[in-house]
Amino acid sequence: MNRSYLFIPASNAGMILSSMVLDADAIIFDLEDGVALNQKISARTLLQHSLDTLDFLDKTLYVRINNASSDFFLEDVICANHPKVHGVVLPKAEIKSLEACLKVLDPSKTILCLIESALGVIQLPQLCQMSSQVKGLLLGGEDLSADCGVERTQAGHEIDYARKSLVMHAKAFKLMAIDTPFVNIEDHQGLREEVKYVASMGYDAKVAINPRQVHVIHEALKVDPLKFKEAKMIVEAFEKHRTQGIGVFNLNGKMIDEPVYLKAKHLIEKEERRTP
Amino acid sequence: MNITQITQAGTLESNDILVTLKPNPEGTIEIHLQSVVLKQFGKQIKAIILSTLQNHGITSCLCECEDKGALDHVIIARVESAIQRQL
Repeated sequence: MNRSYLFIPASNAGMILSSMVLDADAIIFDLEDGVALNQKISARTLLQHSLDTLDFLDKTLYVRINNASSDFFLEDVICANHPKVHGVVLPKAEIKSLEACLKVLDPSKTILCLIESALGVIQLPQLCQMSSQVKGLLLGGEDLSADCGVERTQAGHEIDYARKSLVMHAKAFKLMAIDTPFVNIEDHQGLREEVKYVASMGYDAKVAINPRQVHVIHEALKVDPLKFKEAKMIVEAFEKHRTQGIGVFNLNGKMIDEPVYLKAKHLIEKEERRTP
Repeated sequence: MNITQITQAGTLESNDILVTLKPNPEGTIEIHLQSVVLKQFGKQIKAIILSTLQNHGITSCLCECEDKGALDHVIIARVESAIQRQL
């Protein structure tokens, strides 16, 4: 399970090259906001040649394509159909844009819906069910606050509803929940706190916009070793009791039943999938 | 195909190359290269630029390149983008 998704502008030859050796679990080559309008086609050409030539080893590669209503959309999707690319990040994901994407994207490719408009937020139930290619939801806090005409703050109360709604939909439809980038690149403590906060809500991963954020994200997402050990004890004890027909029991003064067991099992599975 | 206008692609950042295509009244392909690795890889870089131009049917141009250590695929991509901007 990917913990970090690092944006790399597809116009930058050096950054594409160095992305091969960075610690991020997934790389998102950005053809959209990270590339100036007059560099869009040139960036795509560079990305195509880079994908053909470079070996990205075990990195999961995504391409953030341009908006479905832009002139670049079709060629971007064709570029993202490259065998080395895992899928696309669909900006301004709404029913219409997802429909357009599904028409041209290779059926083997994954779609991460970037939720960054008010309409996208209220269309979450449909977006989650439109295709099995949709594997994750990604929150875009900057564009969302712009769409709502409100100031983006570090506290994030202006995106609170969307953040909670997104994670709940992701859980309901078994999709990855990926949190919005933390834009204050130098503030590692702030990033750490935000990652812990969203992880406590159920988020699986966070977007990074600078390679230095990746390590902070990975550290903050690590499960407390004591909690991991306790979860292992709960699972072991529950499975032992279950064979004896006991569904509820006391372990070190704590009541253990099916929901506690499932939570512990989920924590173990999540941590084991996250461990590279 | 002749180059009829001035077009550019690439940057002067590390691992990149800035390619400028200009019309050449001589009617031939002329390549001027500045590179941080000119002594080591100058011939190879020029060969890549020439073959990319020829593969795209270019028969006449003045190609000025400032290389900052670009790998082969970056050189090809930037030359192709400069050609594409002619269209």
